[in-house]
Amino acid sequence: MSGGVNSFCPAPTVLSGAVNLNDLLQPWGGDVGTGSNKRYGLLGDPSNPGTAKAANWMTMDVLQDSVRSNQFLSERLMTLSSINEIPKPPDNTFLTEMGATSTGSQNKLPGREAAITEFQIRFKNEFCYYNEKYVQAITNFLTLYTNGDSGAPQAKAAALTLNCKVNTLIAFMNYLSKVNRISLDSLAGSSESGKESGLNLYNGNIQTTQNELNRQAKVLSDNSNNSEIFKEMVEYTSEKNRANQNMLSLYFTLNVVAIASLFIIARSL
Amino acid sequence: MKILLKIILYIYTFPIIKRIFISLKQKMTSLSGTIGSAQNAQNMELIKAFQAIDANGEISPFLKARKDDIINTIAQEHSDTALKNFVDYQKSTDNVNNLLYYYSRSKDVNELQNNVLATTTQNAQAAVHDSQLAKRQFEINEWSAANKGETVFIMQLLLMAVTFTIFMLFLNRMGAVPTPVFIFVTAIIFIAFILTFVIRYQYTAYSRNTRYWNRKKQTPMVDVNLPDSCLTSLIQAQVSGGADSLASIVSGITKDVGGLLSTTEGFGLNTAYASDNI
Repeated sequence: MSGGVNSFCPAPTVLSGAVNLNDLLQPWGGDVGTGSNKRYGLLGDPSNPGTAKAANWMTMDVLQDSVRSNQFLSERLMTLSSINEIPKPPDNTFLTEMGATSTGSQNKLPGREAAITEFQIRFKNEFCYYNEKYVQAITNFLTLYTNGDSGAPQAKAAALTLNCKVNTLIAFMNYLSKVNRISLDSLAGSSESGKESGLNLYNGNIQTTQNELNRQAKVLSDNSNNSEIFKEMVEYTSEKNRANQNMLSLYFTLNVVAIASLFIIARSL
Repeated sequence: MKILLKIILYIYTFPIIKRIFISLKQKMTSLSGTIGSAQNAQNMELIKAFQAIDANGEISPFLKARKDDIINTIAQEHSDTALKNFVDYQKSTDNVNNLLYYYSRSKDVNELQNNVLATTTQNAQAAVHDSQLAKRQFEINEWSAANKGETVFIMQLLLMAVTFTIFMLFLNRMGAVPTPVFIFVTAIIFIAFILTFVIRYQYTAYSRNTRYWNRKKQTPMVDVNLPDSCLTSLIQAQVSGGADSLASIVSGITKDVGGLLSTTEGFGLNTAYASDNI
């Protein structure tokens, strides 16, 4: 029906005959995963009250709020990321655990990437589902309205609800891009606090350590050379000491002999 | 005439209307959306009206095309926005992932460097220690060898004195040298020996540097007590000269102390270790 729609979503199915509004307003049923990994979409499902599936459900008021309020989107993001509907932004805990060991850091990132890819596919499926329903609802409403049918107001309400859902999903995507941008700034360490953090901090540390290593390499090199020279000098002085000791022993003996000779001569002559 | 008036009115009023429209557009960012919605509503009304009068169904293809246009316009807006936001999200997510890898690698390199630094610090400290130890051992050996050399010198003197005494005693016993001359000469020789021994011993025991054999011990510095009046007048003169003068005094004192230390370094004070700290 529309080239633009086809570029992001498959072409919507054209409904023929009487359209059931309840069918149009059915929540997205493309749940994926099983057990605790089961996903219910960003907009949730009001059926099965009391379950996580129903907890995600947004009423019409909430949907209208969602397009306007960043605070609302932030709160929803926290809620949805706590039940793993949306991958969590990389917070301090994630960064600390990621860098605990080299092995740990390599293991966490591919897992995160896989979760994001899975989320993107899920988001696209959910959006395309509601978008198709929205286009069908608009078509239905136009047909009824132009025919002067009495069901036009109900069809209009259904189209408005679906419009809100589609807008909410777009607003969510926009907000997630904003969150990513904040994460990028935080990771790069370009926050406005002026205090070095993130990559800037590590790069600074690496530079400082590198300078220190260069200085120590020079110290090591100099002292190794000096140590060799001094060891040779110690060898030389030890030899000199031994030679002097021999001389001392010789002269001591000679002196003893001379003094003894002196006494012998003094007494004999 | 009427047409001419209309044209003139249009020419004059059009720029004003255009300016108003532009300023409204700037102030209200959603105006284009509102206009789009109004146009859609207008088209819908038009379709409704045409359908009412199109009893034969001759213009129904045209009406269907207009309806599809409306749907396409609405759907296109959502599609474009969704696509743009989705691509933005994908790109920013890729950037975050790349930066996370970079961050992780930087953190690992930093930790690795710290480990290497700790090892090299230990090695450097050990090398400095070895170097200092070997240097000190050399000094001890050198001092000890020189001390033995000095003792050998004394032994040589003693041997010469005793040998000469034996020779003089032999001559005395033969009657070639009278006894008083023998005693006098022998006494002089032994006095010279004893004096040499005492002087050398005293120098080594009290004046010789304990680290370097060929250097003399430095006498400890004695504090010089300046009179109070001298100090007071000096400080008053400098304070009245302002803070810069005080700073220059401190700088001068620092230079003097630095110069003194560099002077004493050559005389065996243990300042060599200070420059080798890690």
